[in-house]
Amino acid sequence: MSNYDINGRLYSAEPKPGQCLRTFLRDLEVFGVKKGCDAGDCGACTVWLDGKPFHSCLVPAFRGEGRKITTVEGLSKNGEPHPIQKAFHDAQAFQCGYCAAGMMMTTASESFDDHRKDDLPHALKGNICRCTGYRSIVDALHGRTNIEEDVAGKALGASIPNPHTDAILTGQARYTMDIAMPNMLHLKVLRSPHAHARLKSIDKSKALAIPGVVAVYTWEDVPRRLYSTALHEDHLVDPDDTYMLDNVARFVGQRLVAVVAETEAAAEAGVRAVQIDYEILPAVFDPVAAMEPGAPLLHDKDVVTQSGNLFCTLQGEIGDVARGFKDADAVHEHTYSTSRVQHVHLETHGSIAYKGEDNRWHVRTSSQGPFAVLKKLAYLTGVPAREIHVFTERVGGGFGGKQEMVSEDLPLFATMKLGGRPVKWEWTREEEFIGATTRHQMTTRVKLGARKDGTLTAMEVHVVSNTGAYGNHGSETLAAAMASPIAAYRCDNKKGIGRVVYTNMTPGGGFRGYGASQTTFAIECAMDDLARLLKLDPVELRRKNVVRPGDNVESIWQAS
Amino acid sequence: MNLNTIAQVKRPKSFDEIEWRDGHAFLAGGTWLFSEPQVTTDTLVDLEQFGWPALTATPAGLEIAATARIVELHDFKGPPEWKAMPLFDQCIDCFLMSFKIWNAATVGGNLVMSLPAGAMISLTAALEGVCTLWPQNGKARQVPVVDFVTGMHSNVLQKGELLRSILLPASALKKRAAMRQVSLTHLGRSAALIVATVNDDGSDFLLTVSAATPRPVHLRFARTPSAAELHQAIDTRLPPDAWFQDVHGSAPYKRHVTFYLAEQIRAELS
Repeated sequence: MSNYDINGRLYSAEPKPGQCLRTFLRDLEVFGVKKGCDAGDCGACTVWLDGKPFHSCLVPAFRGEGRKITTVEGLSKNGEPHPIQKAFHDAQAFQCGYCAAGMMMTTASESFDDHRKDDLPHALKGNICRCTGYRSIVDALHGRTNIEEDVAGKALGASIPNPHTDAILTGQARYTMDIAMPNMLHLKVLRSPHAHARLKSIDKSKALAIPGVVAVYTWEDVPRRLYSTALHEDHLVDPDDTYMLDNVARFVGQRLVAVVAETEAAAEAGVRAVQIDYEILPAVFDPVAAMEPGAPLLHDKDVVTQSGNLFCTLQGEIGDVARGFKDADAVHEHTYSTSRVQHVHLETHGSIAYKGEDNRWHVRTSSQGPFAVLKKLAYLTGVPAREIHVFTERVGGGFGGKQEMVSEDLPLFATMKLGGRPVKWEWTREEEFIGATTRHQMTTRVKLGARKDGTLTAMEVHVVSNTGAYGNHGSETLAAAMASPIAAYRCDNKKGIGRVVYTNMTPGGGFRGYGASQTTFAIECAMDDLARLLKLDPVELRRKNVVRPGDNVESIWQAS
Repeated sequence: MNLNTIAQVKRPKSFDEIEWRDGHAFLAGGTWLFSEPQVTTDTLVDLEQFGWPALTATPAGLEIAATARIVELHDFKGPPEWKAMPLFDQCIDCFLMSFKIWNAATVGGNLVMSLPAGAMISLTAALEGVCTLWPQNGKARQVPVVDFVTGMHSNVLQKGELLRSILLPASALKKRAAMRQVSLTHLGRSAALIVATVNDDGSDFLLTVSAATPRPVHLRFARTPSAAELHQAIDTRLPPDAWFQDVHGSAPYKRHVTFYLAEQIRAELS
């Protein structure tokens, strides 16, 4: 056994040969050390070795032996908060709080001197915060206070601190994976290397032979029920086009086989040992090409996809757009495009499912919609909803990426098969990029007509949204894309048509702005271009046309 | 991250103890090894126990152990006649990595990764560094840094061969130096990192082009060239297909900024 000094406490323990310090500390229940990227970029796992800051995900655990290891739990002395904790408290330099430990361990370290403070963008390269935009963090480092006193009777409208502040800033707040449970099993999935393929056969035998592997599940083992991973109170707004595990892969990264094992290492080895015989199918990636006759078809089982790969269409017109363009002195028409983007919430997706002493099934998860997950899990497993409990403790960011049931079903299914033993599935950062959802890629053609003075006479908008392999939030985000960005301007004649198309890409999902951002980008670019064409000030052009109090705010549908 | 395929860490006291085979990987700082799964590796060979002194300054120059941490180079204070030393920090600041990674990452690790944007490759190539390599069997050999890296992720190391150290000759450290770096994003990965050194009397002008090309490139002039001579020399040595194209910059962009920055450096050193 080796000796480790962690926050002044001595531990006798032996890390695994290839183990990094981050997981070694967490195995010792020092949970303030977080995993963001696990690759040295995000800094959520920053700890001190003999006072110097290190990304503990990159430090071989054995190198911590004989050195003084300090984590966020060791920052305060004798119950007194460290000055950096006080500063982060007063500036409220966090939102979800997941990055705060690493942010403080970086900025409170001795090497974070005035020279670094003078160039924060450079000094904070190794610390990613996805919530604050760094504004409140910069405030904390400059000693600014963003809070007011919580006085009874005067709290309304006051800037009072987050009630969880102290727990977050001392590393005591528990995020999804910040829990030790005896007897835990680990789940890992095999993800498709092909954009479109049929699974002709799956050989589990080599995986099952690996010591520690407990079970291997394929599409033949799991309930064959179609659902949507998108989460809404009303599940009918999303298309039922997804199986828990399928015998058709429709994008690179789709989960195909689940392996459950005593350790993560064994589960990973099991995943590598599963052999699949694929029949490669033709794939299509461009949504316009996907709408052409003869394009490879993604789904053949869902009523909404009878018209090829077209998942849904939304269209409408108010006034008379043709006449509006006739009345225009200037017409601008151009196509704008936005790319897919991943949310990169610092806490990856993950769930732990187990049978409680109350005999109910519990799913501890990182979700923006645990109650919607509950209903879907009850449907998928056939177990009454009252016997399932889905809950979150603290969630490390979501931004829409966790309005999606992608990590709860397999651990629940596995624990139900395995006598209620806790089953944990913690996603890697790489899985987030290939297996989770993205902001929908949209290509938007905008045509604007205006008089010489800038008054809009007609607006026409065509949207093609690439929803990837599954429909998910495709129709709801299209509805947002066809609404507020167009309704922002008063114009008698408006027309629009939007289409959501299946392709063999990573699925689109909900993402801040929820579809409206893409059309806003296109229309606002077009307004700038129109202003140039008319030789008008772009702000003036907007001031002239933006909706006013008393207006009937409408997009391409008549407001009733 | 955890490297779950690693079954053993060997911590030899000397190079002779190592019996190299496939599946072994030398562990220095570990900042790349631990940043992605290494499923074909089962054994880490830790270099820490060798206890090599990180930096040794002698009249001959500066001997940098492969295991020297970036932070040690950052903190190094050499004799005042080594006028090129500001290049150390200037190149270190070009790293995409956080200053925290400097505490673990090594100079040798950066060379062995052999990425076009490897800032320690730029630095040691510009200062005419010479690598000492220890092959598994046979005598140590010397290879100039500019020849050590042969392309994107490739170098002259044979199986099991170890980069022991890099010697920066005093003659190069005594030269005046200037550098420029540019990237597509603010504080991003280098698209071009250009360095030149020259003697006080204007002789031995050495331009080193890196990041913009798959491997570092030297252009040596007996005396500081004119703008036209420099442009002509770059154009001759690096035709349009000699540039490194990737997401950090297109080949035409890198070619363009190299001409632009090289001329700035030439003017500064003239």
